[in-house]
Amino acid sequence: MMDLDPEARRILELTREARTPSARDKARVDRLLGAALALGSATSHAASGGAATKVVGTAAAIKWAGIALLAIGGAGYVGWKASHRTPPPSPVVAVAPAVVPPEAPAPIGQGTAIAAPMEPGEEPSALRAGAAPRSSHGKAAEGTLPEELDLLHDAQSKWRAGNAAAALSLLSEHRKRFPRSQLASERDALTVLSLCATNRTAEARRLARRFLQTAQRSPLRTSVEESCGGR
Amino acid sequence: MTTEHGSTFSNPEIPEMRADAEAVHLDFRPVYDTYFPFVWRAVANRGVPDAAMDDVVQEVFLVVHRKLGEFQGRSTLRTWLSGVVRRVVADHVRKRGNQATGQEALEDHPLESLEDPGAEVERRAAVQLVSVLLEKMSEAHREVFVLYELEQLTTREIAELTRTNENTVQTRLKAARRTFQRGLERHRASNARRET
Repeated sequence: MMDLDPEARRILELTREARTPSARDKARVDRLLGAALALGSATSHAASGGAATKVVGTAAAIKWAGIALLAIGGAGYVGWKASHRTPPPSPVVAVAPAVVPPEAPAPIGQGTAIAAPMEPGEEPSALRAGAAPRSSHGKAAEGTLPEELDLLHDAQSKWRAGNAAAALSLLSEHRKRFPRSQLASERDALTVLSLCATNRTAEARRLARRFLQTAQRSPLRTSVEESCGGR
Repeated sequence: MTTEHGSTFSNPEIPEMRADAEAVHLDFRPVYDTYFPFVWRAVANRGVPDAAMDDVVQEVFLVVHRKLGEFQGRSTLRTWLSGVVRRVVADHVRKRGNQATGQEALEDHPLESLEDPGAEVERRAAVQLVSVLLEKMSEAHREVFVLYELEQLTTREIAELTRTNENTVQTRLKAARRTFQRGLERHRASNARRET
């Protein structure tokens, strides 16, 4: 087969070098991917009736989604964070969630009484410290889960695309339509991140503080702690 | 990396793996860590601009995360991953419009911030020149050339990925190399004329 001359080879080698990712590149994607796996792909997976949802069954679908959706894909994601030591974050908003070990998922109803997220401009005082725990939600919420997940996933997609204002609008809609959502903590974590992305730091801090106080075992704690709201 | 049934990857950079179809169980995280550079380069080689790299690479791995359980070892993992990259990038281009040239983002990183500006200038010039030379090729030739010369797949892997036979791949690669080499010679001649 015809070969290339040394200069052509050198040019190709330089091109390969130029397109080799740095540690910073990987760290950025690590964090984006961690956040997306917790908030994004999992929600769409559940909403579409994916394998993981089928495995746990309809009755357990809410629980599956509510525990930050980290068991999707079986062992694939388990231990992601635990064995993933990334360099300090680059200055991007995206943050990775912590991963809870599969044997110790955050139980439904425990530490999830986070209040609904705010409307843009709404005072955090509107948040209810004593929101009903998830365990009290019953079957009515189960029927709305695919819809809830779709809306949350849309909001997450907007946030990922850099349109945090649109994400906040969708999150607000989510709060209005599903005030007693099983996914309130996921919604609140995303609200904190979106508020940070729109420089609404004071509101982000208030919501983050509430979230961190109540969602003790949420796998999204790290995301919130590392956001502008947690600092 | 060790599979459930003991198959191992000996080369962590670009492993050659061909496992028995019934004997594949791969965990996502080690696959992600091992193949991140490969996937990143594959995405970049398809002209995705720097500004979109993080999102597209992330999307590739989200698909990998979702589909890894379906991988049966009938091809190498690199071939399988290349197929995912192909589809995700095509989807990205379709959604965003074909603005991807790989050129525009070169200005995003000021040379002053780089440790070795001279080397970086050389790399950027090489990337630009390769992009220009690739434009002279037909799509089929360009794909084979990029897969072989930049992503360093084997002709067999390329044949699997592009659903052609190995002879066709070799024929296309030969023609693509000829186009690349001639383009480079014209570029040299043009530079020489400018200097005189």
